[in-house]
Amino acid sequence: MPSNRAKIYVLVLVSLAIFVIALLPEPQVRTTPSFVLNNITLYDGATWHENAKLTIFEGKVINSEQAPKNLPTVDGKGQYVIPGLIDAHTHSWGQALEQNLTFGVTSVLDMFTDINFMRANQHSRQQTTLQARLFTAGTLVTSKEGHGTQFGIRIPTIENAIDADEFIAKRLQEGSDYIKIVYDAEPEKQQFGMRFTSISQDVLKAVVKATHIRNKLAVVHVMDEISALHAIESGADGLVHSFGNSIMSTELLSLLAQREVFVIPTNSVLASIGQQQRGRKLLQYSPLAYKVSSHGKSGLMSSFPPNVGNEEYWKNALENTRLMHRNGITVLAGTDAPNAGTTHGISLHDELAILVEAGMTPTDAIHSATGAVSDMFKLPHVGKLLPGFHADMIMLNEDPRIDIKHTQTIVKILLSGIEINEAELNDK
Amino acid sequence: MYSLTRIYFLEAYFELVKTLRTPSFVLPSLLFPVMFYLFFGVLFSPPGASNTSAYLLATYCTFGVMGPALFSFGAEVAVEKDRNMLALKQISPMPIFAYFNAKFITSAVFALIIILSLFTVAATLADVRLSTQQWLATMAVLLFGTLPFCALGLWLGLTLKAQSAPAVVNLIYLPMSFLSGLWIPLQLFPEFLQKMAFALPPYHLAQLTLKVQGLDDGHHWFIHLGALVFITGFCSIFAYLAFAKQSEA
Repeated sequence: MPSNRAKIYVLVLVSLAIFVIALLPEPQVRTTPSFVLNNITLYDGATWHENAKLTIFEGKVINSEQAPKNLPTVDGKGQYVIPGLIDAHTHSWGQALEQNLTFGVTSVLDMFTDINFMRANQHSRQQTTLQARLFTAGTLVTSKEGHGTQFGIRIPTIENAIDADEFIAKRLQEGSDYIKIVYDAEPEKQQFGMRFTSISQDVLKAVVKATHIRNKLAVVHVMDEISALHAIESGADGLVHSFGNSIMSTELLSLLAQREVFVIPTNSVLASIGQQQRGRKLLQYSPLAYKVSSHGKSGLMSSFPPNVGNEEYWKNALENTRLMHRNGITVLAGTDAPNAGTTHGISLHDELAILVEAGMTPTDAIHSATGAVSDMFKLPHVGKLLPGFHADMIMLNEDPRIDIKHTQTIVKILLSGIEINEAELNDK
Repeated sequence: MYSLTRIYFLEAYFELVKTLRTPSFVLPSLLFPVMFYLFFGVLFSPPGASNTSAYLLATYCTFGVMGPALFSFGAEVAVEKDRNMLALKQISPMPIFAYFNAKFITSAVFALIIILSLFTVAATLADVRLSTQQWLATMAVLLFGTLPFCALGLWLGLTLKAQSAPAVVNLIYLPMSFLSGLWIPLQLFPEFLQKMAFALPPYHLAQLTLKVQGLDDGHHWFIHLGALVFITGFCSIFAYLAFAKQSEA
């Protein structure tokens, strides 16, 4: 009888489907651990604590009084524990987030990426996967043929102030965590051997306003004094670059201080524009150099063409960072990786070293990549090791207060309290 | 003894057996999606970009399930109509709907096999990792998603001549798949083509499938579902008219 055979076929097909579906792999979900880390020297993102202990419950830091009794304890004698670092200016695609994590950079603030990368990776910042947590501007705000349109990612652009409201609503609907705007006050002048159009100051103002109405931050890419002044006048919350084509005027410095605008100077990339070859030196001297992938190496080895900037450019840029710090302006650490001369992860350690060269104490420099980023960008769960924050941290062998380069003496990297196994990361 | 359900059952069974014995149908419909996915989703996918493989899994599955639906209805019905097989079925005591049901079951079974083989390739060779709910939801969306293409196929099959049907179906199937971004992600297309994709049914099925993983273009799911329901209805009406016309003849 065919009907009996048919029944068998139906049965076989259904069980095959169930069998295959049951065998298909699921993403690895890690259970977040609970433990007490004793005997450590702790920087919680604001202050140092000697002989401290850190109580971690299900992947988050909690108040030790509220912790259940009998949590397992881990002895951290001789270790310096600081929050996982945050790179406040990156561009992420491919393996960027995994690469960052390998170097103890547990969160990144992306300043423009493909929205598909954003969609695929943004949600995982609440979970524990083998990658740095992604916060992102998503699509940046720029003019037709403006800076940002040259990378081959097709993006919407804006020309008129009247479109700002709709434009920003669309970005936030897509999932942008904050808005990044590209602005150049004098687009008729060439910059870095390239020429781009720019949105007008009216559009800039309208975009900032539309962003603020929706309670989000508006940060602006500027690369010279006049554009910086316009950005601050227009209400920007932060500038995502400093510059080296001139020394900052007292007018600019006092305006930055007065309006409490933070600046992410991206010294790493300004040094590269100024032909400093710091990437090359990192590969020679950093104890973390062995972790750099071949792709990362070629990023560190590459440089901007010599006609775009020189020693002078870099000296000015470093001086500007020094001036901002001295004038009490909040400076955040960001690399603009993976631009020429930089790569994800290791370059942030070098950025900290530059901030110290510019006159910060090592603690200030660490603050600029942890607690200060958390404060400025209003990130309630990353950048500090206080109750309620993710237990993202790096454990160092040597005291970073003595030498900022000691942030490179990483013994362990913990994400949500889970020790990151590098073999597993590299395998991925 | 010969109950109505049994008639439906037997018709579907024999249709399936007949189709399975047709290598010119079986081989392309089962192998092409897997082969294409191997090339574009596994081999050419940039290293580490695991979500490219997951993205293309959804689009190649869409491409895969459309094939049997369009061909078993489009090409097969045209041939059977011109050989008067359809007329024979109509004068037999069997309800004619059993004939169409059998075709639907056949394309659903093929769709299932295609989905399972692509899932297996994606999980083993491209490291795609989804939760069990996501795997199941992807499968469910795709299986129901064959319906509009069955309806479109049926309309074509009842309208076209047997000699021209396979060529015409291919001429619709392949360019429509490409222009809906099933082979290469739509983001890489010029803007006017991206906009045009909105008018194509496979785009909407692919978007619904991608939504399971959160990789879609961000439109509301009911827009895509609405588009697919509309196409199913639209094609069904024309198929019905074509059927009524050919029954008169």
